[in-house]
Amino acid sequence: MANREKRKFDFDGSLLEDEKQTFVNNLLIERAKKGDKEALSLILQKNYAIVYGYFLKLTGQKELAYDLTQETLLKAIENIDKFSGNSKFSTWLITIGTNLFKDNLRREKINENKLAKIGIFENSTLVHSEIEFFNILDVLTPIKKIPIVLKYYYGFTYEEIATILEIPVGTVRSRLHNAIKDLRAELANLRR
Amino acid sequence: MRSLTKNICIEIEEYLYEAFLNKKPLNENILLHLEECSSCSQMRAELQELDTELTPLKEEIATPPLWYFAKLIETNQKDRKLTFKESFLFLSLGFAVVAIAYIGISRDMFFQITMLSSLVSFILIISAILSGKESRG
Repeated sequence: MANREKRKFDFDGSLLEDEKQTFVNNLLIERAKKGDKEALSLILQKNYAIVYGYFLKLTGQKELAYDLTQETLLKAIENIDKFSGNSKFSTWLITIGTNLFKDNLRREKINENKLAKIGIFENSTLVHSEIEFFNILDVLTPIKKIPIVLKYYYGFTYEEIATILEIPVGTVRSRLHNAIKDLRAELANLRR
Repeated sequence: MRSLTKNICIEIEEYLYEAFLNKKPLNENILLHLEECSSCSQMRAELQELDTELTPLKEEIATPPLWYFAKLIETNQKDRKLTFKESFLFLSLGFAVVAIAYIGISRDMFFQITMLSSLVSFILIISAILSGKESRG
């Protein structure tokens, strides 16, 4: 009985905590949309690590990830009044970031061949496991890399990825499965 | 019989990929098949290895202090393009001053017109500033 009570308490406690977080986030967003700079700063700070981590995984370069994060945040500041609240704020930021990343690729600002190979191997601060991580992931083209990062590291659903990338759900699934096949092949190559 | 096994293996491959992506445990039927099928079992081992390889990235992301974000917001507002309302008010100001000056000179009412144009300029400048503040927040 005591255990049951405790579980109920834990469950209620975590539920309340989640609700509290959502409430605080919504409040910050509402205030940010009304022009409260402090609220906007706070909500951006809360989501900085997600956006930076996302770009670090996509590019494998700290400097480039930093620049893209800054660009994403600037874009979000500019368009904060357009945030509808239908998705999470972090999902909205990731969508903006993904579009920026794709635009940069289109403009050839990011040379695919240079990704990771120059940025990572010249960077002596990265440990071996990190080099290998980027080396494996870098075998993927951005078309496959973006969905795998969104799914594997951030747990987005197929529908959410489809919305972010503006492609059908079936295409998301096939890109993810093809990405895994490529990664398996690369891993086999590395082990030889 | 062989093609049936092959079909099952294709389905198992799909299932293993989904389990890998969604980080879900495998069900008993799949585990039974893996015990019997060497190629599927090999595939599972490869996916487990891939999982280990993708996991060890240590992200020590230093989140910048709050003033960094405040600075970003400020920078964004400085670089902001003029809104339509502001552009209209600034253009109106220019046209109004020229028009009033022209009328004043043509009707020999220099003093009155100077006063009037100053007043119009003042009102338009205040409106433009207020409009800018409004859209900057």
